[in-house]
Amino acid sequence: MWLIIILLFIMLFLNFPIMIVLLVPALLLMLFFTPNIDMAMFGQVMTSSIESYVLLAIPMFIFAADILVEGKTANRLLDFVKDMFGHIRGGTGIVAAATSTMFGSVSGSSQATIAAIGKPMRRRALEYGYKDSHITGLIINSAGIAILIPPSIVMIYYGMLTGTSVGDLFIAGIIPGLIIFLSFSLWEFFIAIKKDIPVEPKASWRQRWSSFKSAILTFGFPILILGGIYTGMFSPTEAAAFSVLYAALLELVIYRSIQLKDIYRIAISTGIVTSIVFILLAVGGVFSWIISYLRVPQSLTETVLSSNPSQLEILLIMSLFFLVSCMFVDSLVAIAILTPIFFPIAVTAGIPPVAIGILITMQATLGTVTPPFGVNIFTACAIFKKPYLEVVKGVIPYIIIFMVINILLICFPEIIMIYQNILGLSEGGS
Amino acid sequence: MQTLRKMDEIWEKIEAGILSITIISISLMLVGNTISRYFFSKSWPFTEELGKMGIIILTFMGLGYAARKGMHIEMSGFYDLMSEKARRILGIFINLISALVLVFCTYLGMKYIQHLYTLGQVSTILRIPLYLTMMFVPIGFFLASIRYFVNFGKRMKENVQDSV
Amino acid sequence: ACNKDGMRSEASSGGEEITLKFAHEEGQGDVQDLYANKFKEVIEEKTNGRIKVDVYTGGTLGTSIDILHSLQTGAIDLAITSPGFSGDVIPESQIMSIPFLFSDNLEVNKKVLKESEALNGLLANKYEEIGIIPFHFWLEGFMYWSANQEITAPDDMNGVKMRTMPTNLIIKSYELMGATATTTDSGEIYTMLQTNGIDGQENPLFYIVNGNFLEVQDYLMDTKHHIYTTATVTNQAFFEGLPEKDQQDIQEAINEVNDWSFDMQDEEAEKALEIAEEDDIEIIELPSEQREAFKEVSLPIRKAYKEESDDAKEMIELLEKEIKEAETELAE
Ligand code: NA
Ligand code: NA
Repeated sequence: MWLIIILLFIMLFLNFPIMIVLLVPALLLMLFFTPNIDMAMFGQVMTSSIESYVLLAIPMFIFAADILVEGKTANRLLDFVKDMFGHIRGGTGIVAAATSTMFGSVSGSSQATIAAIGKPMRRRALEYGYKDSHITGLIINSAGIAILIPPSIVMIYYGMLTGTSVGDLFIAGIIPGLIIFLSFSLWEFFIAIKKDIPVEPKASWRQRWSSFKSAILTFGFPILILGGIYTGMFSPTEAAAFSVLYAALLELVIYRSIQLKDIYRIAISTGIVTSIVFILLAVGGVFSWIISYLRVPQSLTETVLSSNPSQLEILLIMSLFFLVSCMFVDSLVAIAILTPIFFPIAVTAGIPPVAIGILITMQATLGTVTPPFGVNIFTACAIFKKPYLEVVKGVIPYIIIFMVINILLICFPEIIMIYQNILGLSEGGS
Repeated sequence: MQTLRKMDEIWEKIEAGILSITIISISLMLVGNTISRYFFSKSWPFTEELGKMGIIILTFMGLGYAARKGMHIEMSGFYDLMSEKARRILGIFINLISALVLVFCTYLGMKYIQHLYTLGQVSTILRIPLYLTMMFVPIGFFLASIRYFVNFGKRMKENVQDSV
Repeated sequence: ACNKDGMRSEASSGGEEITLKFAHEEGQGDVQDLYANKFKEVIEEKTNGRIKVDVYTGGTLGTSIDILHSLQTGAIDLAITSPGFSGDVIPESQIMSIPFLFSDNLEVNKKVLKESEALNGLLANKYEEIGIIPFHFWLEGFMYWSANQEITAPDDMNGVKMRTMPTNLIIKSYELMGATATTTDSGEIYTMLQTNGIDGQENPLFYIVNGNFLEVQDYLMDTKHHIYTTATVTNQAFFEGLPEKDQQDIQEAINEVNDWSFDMQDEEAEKALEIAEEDDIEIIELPSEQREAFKEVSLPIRKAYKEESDDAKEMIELLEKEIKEAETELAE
């Protein structure tokens, strides 16, 4: 087992395509650790891990973003943002964090967010003198907050497994989500001062009004997506397709900045990026499957949990297991395997189910942005066409911030339950 | 050689066409289903399974095309620090191993198709045999392996010129 | 790893130690999980730990159809897999998806599932054709409708966006009842119910409760329109390759657990109902004449099923007869 892991890292550093780096150990594991299994399972597991309807949101948002970046719409919005916030220290970074958080929350997909917000935002931030790894790291991590703010499939799944109210989870996730966002914003503010990132001259209100008018149709996106989802007209996945329609409508019909044949060409590039990301999800699925099949988490937790751990120890061990698992396997699979192990112990230790759920969701979030196998890092590599190490470099400060908040909430899970006081709910309520 | 290059160009267009049309069709289908459900109270039941089929097509048909464009994610870093010669040797090695791994995946993909064929599984709504959809798995791996073999060949040639 | 270690040592009661991999479709503590763990307990006790069981809960090795594949390729040895999900591989198993086919008397349904020749003979043969032995068909309780409005007559169903399982038969049944059948992905049901993107859905009660759908729905209709059936199955080649004694032990343990499961699911349904009653959702029992009215409009679906194949026709006609006989027998 260790040999395979070492091999994996050697291949990684020798600059093999990551697809191959992941395929080789997956194949070796299947060949040598599950010798009784018909190898047809390889294809079966690989395809079943990407054959998910909700994953369709990713190519759709990538497509919409590609259309917007190709046309002029993204610029209109970004000009408006610049005129409003460009004169504030770290303004562009904070706006990037805010839009990524908001978009991620609504779309429910951090990968889609990296495509939709990251692409135009990053390009503009580079023009303003931001370092590439900095802005990329910020976008990836802000997009990760998506899972913490409703709607969130991770929370729905956890709620179903444990009988915890999804409504409560949804509300409880908002505060940690905001704490993380605010910490990122503060960091942006300080780094802008320290690195002396130049600010734009303050725009006049006349100028702002004019760029507002020019950008007005782009506000249709949040209205369409938010409105559509919250009024039940469509699901988050369908919202992604509608944003494609709206983007095409703006660029083709209203601004006439692109032509029909451009759509065809843009769709090709969307298709490639989808393939690059999804093949990694598929091979990652094989990893998940083998690890579950061999009951690796169960045997590991058995040894760790055999002593009589305290409440804090339980939460620390639990978070660690979830974090490491979510780094390697799909978060829903990690939750399916680990929740039954940790949930009963944590509840017995007196931790509210909602707090457990939020902590688990945080690990799922963190797992997607953490090297070596963070899905969001791969997505950013594919979309921004950047080598892996460069992206990882920029992620680190945000992961540290995230970790600090994570540890804070593990030590004081009561913070998560504050939402009850805010809503005036009693302790044992609902 | 000339006809081979010509064929390759045509094939590139086909690959690109498949990707593009799949993406566009999925968008139209999702929008269409929503409109149909919301305004005409009629869902398109095949949306889900065609969407999933679309994911399979995109993922595996994109493999070869992404390899052709050199777009698969790599680490970089150490690689850039190496000497020209070391890089060339490593390039040969990486392309060969990658091609072989993908050939093995093609074989496993064929086994999967065979399994589906015996099982006779069809899609739920449209009753499309699953082995037809999943044909894209071995095809995609195969095309990607060819691409790495071609790169391997190119690197070998470079090397010969270099040492002369 | 346990498998390899186990293979080497010989145990007291004769034969080699084996570890059975048993996968099901549901979460920890759900009906199928209780079943699988009960089997683990019974067989491990029966054989003094010589035959061990590893239970894989739903989602850890994939979803329902993946379980069938894993069973087929020998990756797992035993599984609980619902006929409702097997229609893509065994078309005849869709018989379990036809609403209003089974009785509104649960005792009748239990008797039929245990004794039916249509299921345990004809349908079982269809499973064996793809190398799978179904030990038993059993049930996880009545299906309920939940919705954001009252649905007590076929007229109420007009234009209601009902989420159903994505199979032709079920979709068609709901369209016959006047609903807009939608096949929302299971991960999106909660959100779509919350936003009224869909109006209602059908599921066994324990699933409605565990899925937290009570939070986002106003009405729960006790319709007895359908029972949720499932099957305990094994890989034929694997099972028949076992020593006679092991086969016998496993078969006996499964029989014992299966008998137990009928009472267990009663208890689970009772618990789920208590939770639903404590919730502020309004529970409405469908009067039997209304049930008949719904049944009437859904009848053409049986014709569609019969057209599937001659075997299907034979199967449904036999099953209809068996249900009727069991109803008269138990009515006496
Ligand atoms: Na979200
Ligand atoms: Na991950």
